[in-house]
Amino acid sequence: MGYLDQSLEKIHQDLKEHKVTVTKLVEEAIEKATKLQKECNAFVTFTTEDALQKAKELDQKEITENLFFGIPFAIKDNYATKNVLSTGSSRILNNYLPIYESTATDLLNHADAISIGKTVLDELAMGGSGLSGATGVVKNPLDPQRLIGGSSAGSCAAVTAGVVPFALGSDTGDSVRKPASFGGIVGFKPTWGRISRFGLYPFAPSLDTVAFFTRNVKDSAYAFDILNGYDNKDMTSFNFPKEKVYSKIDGNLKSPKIAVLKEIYETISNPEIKNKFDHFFNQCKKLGIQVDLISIDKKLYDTIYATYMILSCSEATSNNANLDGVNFGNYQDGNDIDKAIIATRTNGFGELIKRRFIFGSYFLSKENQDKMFLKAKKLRRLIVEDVNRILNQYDAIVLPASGNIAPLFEEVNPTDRLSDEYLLLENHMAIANFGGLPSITIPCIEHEGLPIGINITGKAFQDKEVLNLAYALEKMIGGNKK
Amino acid sequence: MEKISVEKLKEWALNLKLDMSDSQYATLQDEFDILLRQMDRINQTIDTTHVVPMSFPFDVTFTNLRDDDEVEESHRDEILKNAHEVMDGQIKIHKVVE
Amino acid sequence: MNFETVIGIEIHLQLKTKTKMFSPALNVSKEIPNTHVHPIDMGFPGTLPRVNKKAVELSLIACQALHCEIDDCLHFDRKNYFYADLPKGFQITQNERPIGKNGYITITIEGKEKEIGIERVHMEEDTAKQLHYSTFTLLDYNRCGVPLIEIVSKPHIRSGQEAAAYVEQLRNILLYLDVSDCKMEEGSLRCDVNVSIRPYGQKEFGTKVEIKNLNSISNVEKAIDYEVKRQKALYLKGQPIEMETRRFDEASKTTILMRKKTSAVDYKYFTEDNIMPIQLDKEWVKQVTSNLPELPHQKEIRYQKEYGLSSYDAKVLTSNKSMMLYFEQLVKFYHNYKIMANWVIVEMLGYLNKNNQTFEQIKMKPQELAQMVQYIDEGKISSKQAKDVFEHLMCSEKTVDEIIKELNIVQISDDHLLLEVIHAVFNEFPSSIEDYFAGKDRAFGFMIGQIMKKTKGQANPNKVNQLLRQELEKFKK
Repeated sequence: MGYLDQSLEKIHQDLKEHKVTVTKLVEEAIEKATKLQKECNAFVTFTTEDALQKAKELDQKEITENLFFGIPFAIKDNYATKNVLSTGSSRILNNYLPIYESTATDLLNHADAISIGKTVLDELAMGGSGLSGATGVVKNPLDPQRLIGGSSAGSCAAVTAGVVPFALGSDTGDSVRKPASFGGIVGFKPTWGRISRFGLYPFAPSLDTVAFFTRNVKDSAYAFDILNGYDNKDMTSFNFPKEKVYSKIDGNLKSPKIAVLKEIYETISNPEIKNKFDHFFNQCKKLGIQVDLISIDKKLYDTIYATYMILSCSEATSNNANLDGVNFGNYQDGNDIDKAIIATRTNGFGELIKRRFIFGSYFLSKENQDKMFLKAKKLRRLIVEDVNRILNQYDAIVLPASGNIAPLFEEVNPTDRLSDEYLLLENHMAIANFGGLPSITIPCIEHEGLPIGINITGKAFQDKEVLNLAYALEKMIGGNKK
Repeated sequence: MEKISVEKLKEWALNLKLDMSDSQYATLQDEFDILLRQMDRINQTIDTTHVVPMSFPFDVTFTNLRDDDEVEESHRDEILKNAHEVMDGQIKIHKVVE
Repeated sequence: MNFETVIGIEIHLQLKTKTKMFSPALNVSKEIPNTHVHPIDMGFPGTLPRVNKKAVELSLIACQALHCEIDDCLHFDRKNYFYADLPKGFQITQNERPIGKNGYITITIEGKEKEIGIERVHMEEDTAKQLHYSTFTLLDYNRCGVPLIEIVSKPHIRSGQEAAAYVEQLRNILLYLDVSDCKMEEGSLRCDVNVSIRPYGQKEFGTKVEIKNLNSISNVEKAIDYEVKRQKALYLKGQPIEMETRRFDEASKTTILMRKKTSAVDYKYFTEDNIMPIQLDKEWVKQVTSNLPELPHQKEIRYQKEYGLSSYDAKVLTSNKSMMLYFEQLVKFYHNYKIMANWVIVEMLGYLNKNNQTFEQIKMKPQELAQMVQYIDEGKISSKQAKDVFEHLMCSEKTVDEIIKELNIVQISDDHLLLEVIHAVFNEFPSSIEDYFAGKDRAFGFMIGQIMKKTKGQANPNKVNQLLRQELEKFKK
């Protein structure tokens, strides 16, 4: 039913053959979005009128070869969009209208894609559940009893539900690649520094990456082509020529070798799920891929979560110090300026991120910085060096993006509390953020009728190779299903 | 290991210009406990003495700087449109006592 | 008991760039409020800092002039604190790796030279301007993000006089190199002073007191002098000197407590995560730092050696950039350097002060002043006439020759003519000759006066002097 759960190529073909108009596509997106909003609460803001207006204009234009022409899409609400409410899903920004456009959305606008709205995220991207957005919980369209994951929850839900074929997210720990697993879609986080972060609200800039959801790998490759490239507005953006990878993604692999990290893989606790992944890896071998189950220093990899918490909370505490209600944002009054700022921040932030800010402040404080923040930076190096060592021998590290299907709401600890029992299996994807590596989650197996994704992480700047491997695996898995 | 006191946590919170409910401080106290214990374990198992801290994903340097001749500014109305209160083209706040 | 004063100075200097440190808004803080602001300056979420190349260039020049070791890989850090004038909640600065360190400048006090060490020079950004009213505060972001360098001295300064000389010397250098406007009264050069005392021989430093908001060099000296007195008195009374911040009060010439420093603020410095380390092009750094013009201090020495000027004259000439540039033009046209320097320092400066003008407003071309001095030397005009000519030259664009013609100035230097006049005076006042030989000095002056009267002041005084003596000697025989 409809167009928007199809590939970009298919939609584009039908546009060209005048089987459908841009206006029709946008109308379909709006209709589906309205339905999704009732069921799953994926959006903060709809930009319906602007979208229809732009669709009308595009319908007057000649259709180019550009696959994004007239394609409706959604934007995670932590991208600044000019004169469109950009809340970061935080109460403190619930009235904020940026006067500038993020580079990523600007590129998409210029590629004639049409934004239909801004999507819910875990407040200021600090969370992984989709529970902490200021406008409420985001549900999984595949099963509204379950969460979709976060922080890019609304964008993931929108693509999962076929509302749009593409949605912008952002990825600091696994904020695109984890929900993609729960939604059964593709989530791609390119190499750090290849896409400008200008206009993306910073959570932890040394880890933050512009990332996105699509329904298939080739669409992700196309989106990467639109978005990558140097931007002088971002002094962490690599001054490399713009890459065009889409046409080079053919699924042909040259003696591919992938590494499965044993100590992580073997912690899958559900035997049925484990069997299905074992089967997947056997399929890989049949395809001619060398699959090695390699042993890692578990003690080192066990530090991933603590390292991630320390680095991300520390950076976040400083990056969000601008939110005080003075120049912008939801100001709350007090008897003096200090009390007003305290009132603004106390009422403006949710409980979870306040605790994370205090964490960060502790890690950065003079007395603790050496043993916490600097220690985490050193652990980061050890982990990255080890991962790069493995990637020097293999084309990619391939692991389940999650050990299980999307959890039920009743199973989740409601405040996203830090827990002593965490699973490395659920947190390993942060290694791609530590090392700035390209990493993609694609749908892989089904369990109880719900998807679990497989994650593929490759060498820095080998976005094309990662996409190509993912494409080959996607074809294999798809063939499997049918 | 001794738990971090709620008073201390409040001090840090106020340092960040925010406050929380008492139950949140208790939660935070527990979370600190968990994380610090983890760090303790890490300190015992992983030696980082001679490791250089890593601030960015790559150990590379950039060369680009912004040219001083490039000028771009926003109109005052735009700059101020998100401010809570404006007076004579300036943002008005409670009196700041130095 | 004898005390040693230990002083360290932190100077914040606004750089003379076109745009701000991290944003492309114009660097003009004194304009209609909030008209030169970029979203980056407002700390709007998602905006990212962009390092200004010119600001780096000026910082490099400053480092070179202050003999610093230069770090050609730029690293930026964040200094985190909440304040109404700091929209991001942090200031981007250089904590770990300042662009310059371990430099020095040389100051001269009563003819004696002293090196003052410079700990570090680092780049950072200015804050917004707060305007305080009785019940509220207004914020203007024009100044927010203006490029700054902070220059931190080593604690090598021992008196208010040395402190003033240090600030003045720094200002002269950086003003001359066009790094900054260096206007203390307008805040483009801001000075914080740390003062402590200790008994002679004691190794440990005493408790530091910081003095802020010093808006002139003379106030730097006055504030320190007062503060040292205050601290000595406390010490001698056995009272503790406390860590505090004070400000100088102009009216009472004292320092007044602003706040006690209870516990040191924790700024939670860490790497600015939005700017990758920037490796400057080594050739560019070399090019920027190797072509520095001669500094005022170096010029001062050269003027004495090359032009034979007194140390006082050399100092005065180099203390003002436009005056120095004027003088350097002057010496290209004529060689009587001392006299020319004198005209600039005495006559020209006097004229400008009297008429409330600056060197930039002078109409007289340097070659005209040089020409005028040459005419004096050649006896074409007298010094007295020259003063008239000078006054006219200062307020017109005419040449010396034109003015001389206009004023109908002729100097009689012709021996023949002058001898005639001298003999006429002898004939008229024979008693003066007798008086002269009787040892009455006034008689000589009287005869000169008569000669000048007869020539309507146009006789060349040197010539008259010489000829009159020569003719009088003839009577002796």
